[in-house]
Amino acid sequence: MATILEATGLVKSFGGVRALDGVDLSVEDGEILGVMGPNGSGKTTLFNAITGAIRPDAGRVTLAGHDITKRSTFRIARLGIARTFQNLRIFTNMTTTENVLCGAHMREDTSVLGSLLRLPGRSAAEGEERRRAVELLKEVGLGERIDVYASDLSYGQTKRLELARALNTEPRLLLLDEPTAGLNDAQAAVLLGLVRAVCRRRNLTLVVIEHNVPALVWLARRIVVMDAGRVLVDDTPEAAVSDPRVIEAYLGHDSMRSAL
Amino acid sequence: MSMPTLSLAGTDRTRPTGLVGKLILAALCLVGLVAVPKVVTNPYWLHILNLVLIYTPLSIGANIITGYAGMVSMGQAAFFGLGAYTSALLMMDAGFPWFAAFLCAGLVAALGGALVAVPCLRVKSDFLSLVTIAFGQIFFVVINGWMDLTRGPMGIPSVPQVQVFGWKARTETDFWYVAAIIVGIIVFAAWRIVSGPVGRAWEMIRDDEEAARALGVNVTYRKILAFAVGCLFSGFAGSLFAHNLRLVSPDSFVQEESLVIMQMAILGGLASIPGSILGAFLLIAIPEALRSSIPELIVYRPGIMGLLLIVMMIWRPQGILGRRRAAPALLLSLSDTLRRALGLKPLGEK
Amino acid sequence: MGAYLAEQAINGLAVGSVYALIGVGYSMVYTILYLINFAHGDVIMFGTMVAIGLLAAGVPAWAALLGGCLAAAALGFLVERTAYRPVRNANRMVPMLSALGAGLILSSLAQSIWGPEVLAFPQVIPRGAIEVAGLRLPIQPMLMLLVAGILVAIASAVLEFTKWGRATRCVCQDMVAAQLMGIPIDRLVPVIYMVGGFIGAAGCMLFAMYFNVAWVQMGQFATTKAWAAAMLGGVGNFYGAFFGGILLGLAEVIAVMTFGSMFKDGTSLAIIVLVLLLRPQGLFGSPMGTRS
Repeated sequence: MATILEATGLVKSFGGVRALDGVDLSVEDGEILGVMGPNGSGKTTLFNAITGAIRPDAGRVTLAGHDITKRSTFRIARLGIARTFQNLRIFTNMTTTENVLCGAHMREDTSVLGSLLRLPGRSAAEGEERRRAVELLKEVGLGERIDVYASDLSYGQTKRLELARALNTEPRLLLLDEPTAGLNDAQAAVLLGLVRAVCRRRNLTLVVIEHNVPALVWLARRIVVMDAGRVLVDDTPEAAVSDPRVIEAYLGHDSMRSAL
Repeated sequence: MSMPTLSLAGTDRTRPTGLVGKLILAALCLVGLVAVPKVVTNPYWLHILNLVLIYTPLSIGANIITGYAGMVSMGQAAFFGLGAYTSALLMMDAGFPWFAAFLCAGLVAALGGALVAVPCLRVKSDFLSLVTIAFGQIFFVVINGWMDLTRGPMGIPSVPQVQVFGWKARTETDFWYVAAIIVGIIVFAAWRIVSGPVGRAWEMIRDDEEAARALGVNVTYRKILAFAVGCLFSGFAGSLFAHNLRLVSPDSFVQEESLVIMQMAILGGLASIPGSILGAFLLIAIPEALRSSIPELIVYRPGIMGLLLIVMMIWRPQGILGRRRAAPALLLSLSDTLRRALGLKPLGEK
Repeated sequence: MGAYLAEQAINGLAVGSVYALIGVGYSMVYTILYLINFAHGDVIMFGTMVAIGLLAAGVPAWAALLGGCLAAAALGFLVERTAYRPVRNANRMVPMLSALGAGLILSSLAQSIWGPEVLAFPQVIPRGAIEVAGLRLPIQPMLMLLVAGILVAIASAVLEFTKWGRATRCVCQDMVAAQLMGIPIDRLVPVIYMVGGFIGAAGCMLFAMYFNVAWVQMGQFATTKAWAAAMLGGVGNFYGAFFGGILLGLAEVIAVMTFGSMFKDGTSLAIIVLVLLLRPQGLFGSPMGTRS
């Protein structure tokens, strides 16, 4: 299988803290890769480095051979990386449909002239985009919530909306940052079931940060465990979870003990 | 779409306007165009309406920058003035025909807006407003001081009227017809721009820049574009202003004007084209009406505006016609916290 | 020639110190609250006008000036209560807009009380100069420098050595941590507004006296200069604003000598643009003032 994303030697410091301390990661096309680790191990920072939200102090990130280390976020998005955020960045001033339509930005005609002229094909294209958005909303289980203001959604529904919006960008690689945070076990199971189905349907490559270890073991084909800015273990889920180094790292952080 | 609908600000933009709705709107506009001068026969009041027409593109421009793209610009009077001076000088000193001067006014203002936006984006958004104030003042200082070009504080008198194919707009009525058509086209163009992906991209930036970037939006480019488009309209307004008033002087473009322009967008409705028109109407017609009946009130104009600003923040931060959620989240949370402070329920709760 | 330059330098420094005093008010509020207090200019203008009124009513000079500063401090408190406190948890533009509204109300009020014309400020400090070692030392600028120096020295002494002052600096660093450590932010913030108003009004009065002009828009006028000073020095920095003011004063003098008096007011604007283009964080500031 081809490697779609490769990160080598990523280093990033904030003030005195080394958030990333030489991280290597490779993601294969079509796989589901899990990323876990105690709080502060650098997982979100890793995502940020990949998507260009922060610039690493050292190291390289390549996407399908292109070096994207120093590229700006929007260019990386245009290369086919989509992400969701830990703190849910949906557009609360828009409806669900409009949020999902925002995902179409990269393929729409966003020129001023195009908007002014509204040549014949355009309203057909707009109708098509709207249809596509509605389909996505239904696919993530928000079919009852079309054209509802995003701020009126429940927490779980908001997560699905963010997923739908990310999917609408038609990415090759999707990064999910703690999708089940704040959900109870039942809700988490449903959401991750949806995620897996959605990714299979599109043959989408997925990298997921999760604290919910059993869920991640179920979902991922491979798991990377991080601690203190480094990759501890990169192995199958079962092997990763029972690796003594991983248990050591989690035991050192009491809060995560129960997760294992 | 089974039922044709009239699309107004306040409904989901993704639903297309029905054909019937469009035709009704067009018919109303046409009727209005012809009927107004017949109904409003007093030239003073027609002049007021003409001023509303002139300020409409200005208000729309401010709304694009602030309401759609979320950047608070407190220096729009400078671009208004830039358009006015450009148009007047091109006609008088360079012999341009009116329409060419009009177009150039818009383009020069748009260029100015884009140039100003570039350094503005280098500072935190808090400072953006300060920088726009500074640029507004720079403009004022320059036009006040550059006697050779702008005749300085005295201004440029006897600016020619609007002329199209040899026909001159000699009266307020004449001006009304030309301006109404032009402003109508501008309003239509603005609506087209903001109701499509361009407007949506701006709103994405306004609501969450980080998320917008992750969705492929070139934020820097789009912010500059917002300034360019907003100032394009401001420039057009400036040209209309110059050839209606027939005097272009620095006094018309002081800092307070920028605040009034910003207020038009905030009061009438952020991220709303009809709101911009309403804002222009309210902040032109009402002060004029008051001025003729209670002249002393003019002294209190800034204070009244200040009070209005605070009241709007509490009661309805998105403006009268703004979509409830079109107000940047920050203004909504202001409203909620102010209401709580006063013992009222926040707007969102039942 | 040397004497002329020295005199001009003193003038420049004096005016600069006045800008610094005004700028300190903004800088303090911004450093701690990340807010631009748009009402500051109108508050200090109001205080200055009150001082003029008191002087006209025959109040002794020291009392009138003090009264003006106290009035500004009181107004600062009022602005904090109405334009900051109810909205402090909202996002940044919000309190700035309501402060803008408050400032507009104040300027309207001032205009209805004192009218739109330019007033003269009674010259309570005599104009003229004294001869010292062959140098002409103009009295007003010297006293301005002295007053500004004393006020800044007091303010920095308070910042460095008192409990309140150290608390303020803690808040500067990290508001949440300061709150967690029990520092009474709610009592501290009004004090900052008041002190900023007091000092700023002192600066504004000196400005009015030196140029012998006072008018309702002068707060806004001085504001641009104070902001140029703060940006030049670096906004996050209390001392930065002060040095920025001095530099601005000198820059203006140089501009006038080189290009002519027409360009004096343009200097501050030019500085804002230059700082923006070349070094957005100012001379002494941290890049926190810029987009990261």
